[in-house]
Amino acid sequence: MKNVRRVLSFLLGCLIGVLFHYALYRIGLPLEPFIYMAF
Amino acid sequence: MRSPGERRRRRRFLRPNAFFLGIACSFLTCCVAGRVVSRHNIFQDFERLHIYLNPSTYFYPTASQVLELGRAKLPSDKIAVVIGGNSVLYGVGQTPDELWTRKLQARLGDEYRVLNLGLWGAYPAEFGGTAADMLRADHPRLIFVTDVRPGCYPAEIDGVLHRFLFWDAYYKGLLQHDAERETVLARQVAARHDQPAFSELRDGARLNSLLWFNDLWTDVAYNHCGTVWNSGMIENWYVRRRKLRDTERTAPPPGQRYPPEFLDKGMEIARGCLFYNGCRKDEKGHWVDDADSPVWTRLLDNARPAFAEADRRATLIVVHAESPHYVNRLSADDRELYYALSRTTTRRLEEGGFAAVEMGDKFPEEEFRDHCHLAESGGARLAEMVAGRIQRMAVDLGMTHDGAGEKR
Repeated sequence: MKNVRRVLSFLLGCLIGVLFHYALYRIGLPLEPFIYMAF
Repeated sequence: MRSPGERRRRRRFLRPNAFFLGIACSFLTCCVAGRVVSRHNIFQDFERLHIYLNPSTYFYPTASQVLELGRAKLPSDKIAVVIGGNSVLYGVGQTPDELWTRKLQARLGDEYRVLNLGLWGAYPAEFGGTAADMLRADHPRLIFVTDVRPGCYPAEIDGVLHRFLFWDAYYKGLLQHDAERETVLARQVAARHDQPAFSELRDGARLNSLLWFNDLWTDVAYNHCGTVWNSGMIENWYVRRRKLRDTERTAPPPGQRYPPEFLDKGMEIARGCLFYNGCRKDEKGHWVDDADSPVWTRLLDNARPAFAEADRRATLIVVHAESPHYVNRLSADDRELYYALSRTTTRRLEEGGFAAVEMGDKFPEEEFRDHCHLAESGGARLAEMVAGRIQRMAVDLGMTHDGAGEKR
């Protein structure tokens, strides 16, 4: 049971780490995309 | 405040050491994965930076990805022709089959390889210019093509709308060292001290050069699935960009290209060029170059630092023109001034060490798709004009294998 908890904790940590890396990408994106208008 | 019971339950489930080890391992794995994928070209069947491959749909190619694209598309035994500039050279109004850069490739032949990195709204040295600068390090036989309006060269070395690429390349150490550019750049950056968005962009680029998050998640968006909803992709935001095709439409029929409701706007744009008046009237009343005008000093002061001195002769600047549909509606005097500005801009750029060609009044209004973009026939004329100049440049710069090239 202890090992299962360790593995689950590790996997949860992995998920948080990936989300943190992804968050760095997302916060760099502008709020409004560049809109090009040709007429 | 959590109750002691809740804290106990959480402690029972979470093993802190394993939890934090998991965070560290996965975060580092993502960083390494970003670095690894950045070393490979992700783009398949690349033609240009169409709507699903550019910032208008939240897709921001990184400097490493653009560099690898260039390396893959431009073999070192060919003369590389990198097209930068804005929507005119991108080919708005031309489907992929009609694209002027395909015609340019056909006209130049197998000794050359053309890569279209024109991007909507880009400044002359922005995006495509950054790509050319990175590629020149391992591709000395490279000609860069960009465009400007008559009488005007914007000052910002890193561009405005798409400067993310410049700063990504800058912090990854992918740009060539050029003392003049760095001096002017430092001055421009200092002048932006009150622009928090610019500071954030630079901080993000600096962090990405260490942690490679933009490289990894842009790769995921291209190869696996979209992760960012955006108003340009309401139905298909989750689809991997690799699957999405260029949707640029052909120019509308000639009778529908100049809607009456856009006449005022088109005239305003055409007249806007006259604002940079660097001409004077001669004794016969014709507009000629005004040697004392500060317009031309400013033009070269802005253009020269954007390119390393050695690269200027390998940079071709197309001085583009508005459609005669609008220019011909100017007064005769303003029309003459407009084309005098175009001629003088071309000559001044040549004197400043660049190669330059002007569209001038050579493109009839039926070859335009709208006020400035070209329809297929206009693209064909542009390809012909640019190809001839590129071939002369390649000979003059000793880029051709036989030293004589295909001089026309």
